[in-house]
Amino acid sequence: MKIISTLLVSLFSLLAIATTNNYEKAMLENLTAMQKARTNAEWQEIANKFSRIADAEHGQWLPSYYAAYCNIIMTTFQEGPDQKDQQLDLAQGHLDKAIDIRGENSELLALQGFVHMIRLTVDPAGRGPSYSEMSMQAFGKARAMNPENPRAIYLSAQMQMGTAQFFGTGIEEACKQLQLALEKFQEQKPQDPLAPAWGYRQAQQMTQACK
Amino acid sequence: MNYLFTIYILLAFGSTSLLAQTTISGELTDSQNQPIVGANIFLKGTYEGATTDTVGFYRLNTRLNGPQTLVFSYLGYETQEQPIELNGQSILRNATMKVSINRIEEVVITAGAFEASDEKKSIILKPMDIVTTAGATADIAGTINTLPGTQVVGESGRLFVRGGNDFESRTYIDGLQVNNEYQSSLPNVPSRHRFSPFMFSGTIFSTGGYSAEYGQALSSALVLNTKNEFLQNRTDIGLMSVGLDAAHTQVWEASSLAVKAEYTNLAPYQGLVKQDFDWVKAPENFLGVLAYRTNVGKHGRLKVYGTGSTSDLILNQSNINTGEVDRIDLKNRYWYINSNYKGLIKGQWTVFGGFSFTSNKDIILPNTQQLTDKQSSLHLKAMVTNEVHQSLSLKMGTEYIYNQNQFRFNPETSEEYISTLRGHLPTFFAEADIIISDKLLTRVGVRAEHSSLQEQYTIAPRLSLALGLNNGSQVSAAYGQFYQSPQFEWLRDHKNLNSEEAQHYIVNYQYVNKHQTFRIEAFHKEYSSLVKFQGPENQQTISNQGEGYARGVELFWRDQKTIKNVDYWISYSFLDTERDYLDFPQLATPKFFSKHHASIVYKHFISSLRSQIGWSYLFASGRAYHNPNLPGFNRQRTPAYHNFSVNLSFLWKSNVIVHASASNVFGFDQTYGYEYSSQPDDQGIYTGRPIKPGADRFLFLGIFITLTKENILNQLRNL
Repeated sequence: MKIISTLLVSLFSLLAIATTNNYEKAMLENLTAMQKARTNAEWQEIANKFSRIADAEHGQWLPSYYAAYCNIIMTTFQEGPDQKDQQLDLAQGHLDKAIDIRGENSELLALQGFVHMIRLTVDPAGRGPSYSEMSMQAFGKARAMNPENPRAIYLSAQMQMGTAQFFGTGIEEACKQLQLALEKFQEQKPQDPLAPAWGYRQAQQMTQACK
Repeated sequence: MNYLFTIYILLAFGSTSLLAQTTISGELTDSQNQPIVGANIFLKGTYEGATTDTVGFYRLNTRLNGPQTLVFSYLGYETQEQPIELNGQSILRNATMKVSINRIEEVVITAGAFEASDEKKSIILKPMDIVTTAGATADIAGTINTLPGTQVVGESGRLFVRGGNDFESRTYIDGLQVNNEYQSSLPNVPSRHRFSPFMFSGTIFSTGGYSAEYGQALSSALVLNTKNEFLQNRTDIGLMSVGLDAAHTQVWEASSLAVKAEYTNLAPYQGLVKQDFDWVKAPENFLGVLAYRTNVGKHGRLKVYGTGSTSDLILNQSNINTGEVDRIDLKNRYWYINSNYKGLIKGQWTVFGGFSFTSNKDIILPNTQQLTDKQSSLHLKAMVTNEVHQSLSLKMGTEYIYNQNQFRFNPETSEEYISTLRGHLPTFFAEADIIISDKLLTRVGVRAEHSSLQEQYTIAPRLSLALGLNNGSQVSAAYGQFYQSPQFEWLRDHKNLNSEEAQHYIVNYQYVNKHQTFRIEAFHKEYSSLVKFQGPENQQTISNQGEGYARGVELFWRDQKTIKNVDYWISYSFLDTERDYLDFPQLATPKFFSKHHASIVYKHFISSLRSQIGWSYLFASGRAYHNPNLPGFNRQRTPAYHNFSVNLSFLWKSNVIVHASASNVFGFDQTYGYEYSSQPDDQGIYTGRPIKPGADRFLFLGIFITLTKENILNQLRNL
């Protein structure tokens, strides 16, 4: 009997290790691919894979988080406002799922603000007033939950920059925030290799506007 | 032991011992045989999957074995699952995917409806548009008057829709009725809609054929939806040429509270700009608004919206019959509360429950007499909606409306007259949205009411459908029967009057692309059972024998593309309407209506100046009026009406906006109609005079400041 239980325990632990490793391996592979992704097709492939992992791993919020992120990025490849909105609906679906699993955290709120911000860009004149408020609120909450989150700072800087450009006002404050974001990006040291780490490159690109 | 060992080995190495690899491949197409690119094809519950390429082809290699489920999924299409047996043999699986119902959103019922919202796509107007229309002075009714189907009735300021009287249009907030939605006013002095558009996130203006959810309105429903969320603590301050206001919004984790106080007084303005009316006391108004919202559980939301106001004005009006000057004092006390709960039960049933209560008291003091008109209305409503199936959704509800009206008249000479009316109106309604195909949507509804005053049961069917054509165009049609209790004015002494009736027939074609909208709509409206009597002196002959019709064609074009940073819309309405009601001796066009009505609204955003400049032009052909000195009834027509207005919104700082507007800048002479004495003079002539606005122009200047933590928000949306 003792042998059987030992066997069973070792069997399950083996299986558990195998599946975790499998999860981490698949996620890492996909994250590496994500860093290189350029075309819509590449992003789609990666989004699909994150979505498959999310479906298979019910307790993990990160696959849904990344699936949402990929769909936000893919909006930039879409032409029409309806298509963009549809893509954002999908991103929101993944994001809701992640929030359901994890509860609100700084990264998820930053991404929520990102979704609102892109919704705004679909129709700035019409949606500006409501969505700027919604996205700034999400970024504000994300920053309150973790003042060190560079993505929350970078995205809110982008929002401020966009607003300033739309109204033709000064971008100094946005640039100041961007500098802060860059500092935080350099300081970030995620213990978890799967934790969100994107954004540094985009933030650096954005500094062009401040020169 | 041996046995266990075998299991262990099998389990531990099972996957590798049966190394056979299976390849699944195939093509994914839509119903038009076009490839679907980027779809996700995977084995359910595993990471194993593939993505279709640019020709819709996929190849999936897997080491999994045995029975599995193959899933095809792509944005905008129904997900498909197929059982599949993996055994090392190559498998070919093609699939045709069906467009999911969600994607058929483009087909919507548009007959008779103009919708403004932030959320929905392909809509006509947005809340922002309502508040930045020149000449409308942020008045809901003013902006809606630039849409087809409406009529500018300058001396009233209210909505007159498709040959219908002002009281045939009803306002709803979150589906609950509002009574006395216009500020109280005197004859020929225009009033404003009480509800400021900035408290609402969506507006549906229906010119006919509307849902069974709405009743007691013969012509039109104006549905305002309050905001779902307030997001940030903010304080707003407004300094205006006509008064000042202050608002504050406080946001907590799951709830928010917004309060607003406003004081307006037209006296300083009227001191500067010459008025043709002889004001003793210019309109003065105190207003308070409160909006509270809280989440209840995960899927429920409770809202409370309340407003209260008090106003006072005194005007000297010369009496056309006596030739004397009447001093009329009008005091109004108003409050309205609306509270509703909306929640989701078991993920499928949406429940809604709420009430609204309106209390309105007008005290009118003509000279030394006193007239008090007090009205209270309660509206209770409970409703459930259920997405029974992807292609069928049901809505059912019950309502109870209670109205009480008390009218007191203290003439100097005779005894006080008091009349009190109480009416109960239980209602039941049901409606089904049926998606027949991905291009055809129908809505079937019925509304049953019982009016206690008239002891009358009414059953009103409603039907509409929408058919999607190619490339953003669609046709839509609606039919509906509508009932409305007669006005208190008539019911007071004649409780046995039946409800008035109208039938609507509407056909509509709409084309929408990214930044352009074109609509054409034709309608026919048949009125029956209207209140009628034989001459004004003879109210005892009152009956429901009145009738009438209205028919017309309306065009709407909006373009946000052709000229950069410019958004403009053009409306045209043709209206042919006649009635034989009230004291009319025969079928005739009522005095409110003109045959042709057109408007242009133009808005130009200049980002380098941080300004939006706009103008609007309204035209209406002559309105009918009756000159008793001439033969016939309502045969005469006033001169045509022109109004050219401009406005400017300037973003001074990111949180400070300056707004200026001027109506009728060119000072076109505007005559709304003519009135005549009720008795002829010694020469047998009825004396007449034109009805005109109180001043040629109205000028407005305001500065609006928003204080938030970041100070990047502004009140742009409020203007």
